Amino acid sequence: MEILVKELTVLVNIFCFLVPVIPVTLKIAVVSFILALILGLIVALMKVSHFGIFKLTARVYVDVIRGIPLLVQIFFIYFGLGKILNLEQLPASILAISICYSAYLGEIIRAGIEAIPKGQVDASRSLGMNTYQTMRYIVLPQAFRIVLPPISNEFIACLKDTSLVSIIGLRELTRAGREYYSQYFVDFETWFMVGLIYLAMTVALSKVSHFIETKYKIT
Amino acid sequence: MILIDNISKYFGNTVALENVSCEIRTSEITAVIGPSGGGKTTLLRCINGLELPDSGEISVDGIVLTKKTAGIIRKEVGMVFQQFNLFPHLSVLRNVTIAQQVVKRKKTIEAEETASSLLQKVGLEDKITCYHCQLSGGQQQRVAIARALALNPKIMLFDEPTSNLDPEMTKEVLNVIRNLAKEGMTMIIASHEMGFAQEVANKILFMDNGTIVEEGTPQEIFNSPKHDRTIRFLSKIMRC
Repeated sequence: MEILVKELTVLVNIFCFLVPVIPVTLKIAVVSFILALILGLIVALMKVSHFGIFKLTARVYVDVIRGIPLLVQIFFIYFGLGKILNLEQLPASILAISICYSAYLGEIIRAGIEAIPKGQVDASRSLGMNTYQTMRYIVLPQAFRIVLPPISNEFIACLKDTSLVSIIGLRELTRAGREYYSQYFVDFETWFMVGLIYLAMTVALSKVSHFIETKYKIT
Repeated sequence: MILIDNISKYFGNTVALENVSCEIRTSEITAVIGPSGGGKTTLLRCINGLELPDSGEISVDGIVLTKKTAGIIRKEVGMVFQQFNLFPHLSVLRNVTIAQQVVKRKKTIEAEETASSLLQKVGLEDKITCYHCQLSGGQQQRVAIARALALNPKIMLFDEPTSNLDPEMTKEVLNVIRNLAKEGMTMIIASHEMGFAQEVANKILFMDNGTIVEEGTPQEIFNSPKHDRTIRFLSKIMRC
């Protein structure tokens, strides 16, 4: 009984220590992901455009970014580019994650756009809508519904990948866990609690994405 | 009104249209008949600028069709597709209002008024809040007709509008087209409904292998076809 109480106290202590940094992790994930979505949309539109140069640029971009580990990109941007541009840890982290995820999201969005039947574009064009209007009002709203599940998948992956930026010293969830551990030397409980908090966030996220999916479903 | 001057269109090595010329006058109803793959659809798609001919020239109301003028011409020319192509993410009402709002920049109320009167015209005023999945094929095609009419086009193109419908639904769609004919709308209809073509059209084009094989009034084509190919096609179709 006494052991149990002691154990619970430790866990509660760790939890209280970690709670203040949860918003940092969330902030990195959300901001990076929004930027990645915008970049990814641009990449996707370049890939489906009729201009060879856009297509090629987008393809090279995706291949390069997708082919390098995120951790290496973080090092490159923080230690490499960061020195020249004088980037702090937070902007460097957000930049690295958003660039990395934009490549994956770009491919997902492209697949979504290409999944829309050609007849939709024909109908839209025949009604006098130009390429931009067709994309904006007909193709993208339908593609959005198709790509919602894979995109929420990517967001969950992105949230977990924010733990990588702990390595350049940004004090987010994983970093704070390491701090607690080096202070009190309780390894099992610390990493158990860190894992539990990540899990709670991702489970909550999949609930939210499931809700959005049902709301926008086309039957 | 529409002048088609010696147009050809190729998809790779396949000939879709070859040296096609014809003229369509205001208020004239032209039925394009012929076997599948004969070039009917491609001809209609060219008039709408969905495909640009590889050679030759199309002009609508004096405007020569190019990549640049296609947008202007499409506002004058409505098109109805074999596959309906309704926008599944939009309600029936939005399907009919969207082009008015986006292309003609009409206000929502104004666009919705036009849309409801058009939906009433095609007999679907009670379906405005539905989505395409809640409609039968015939109802979907009638919404598609209302959608094309929403921009107030001078010409309507029908690309086999009833080929995906059962006989009962075919009838309801043909009735809508028949009413448009009475109003004096200029129309080009690609169809396999020979009876309907004979009834409403002023002119029949018989197409095969990408060319217009024979052209004439319904009487000429159906009662005394001159060309061998036309005779063979009609005898096959009329027998069943």
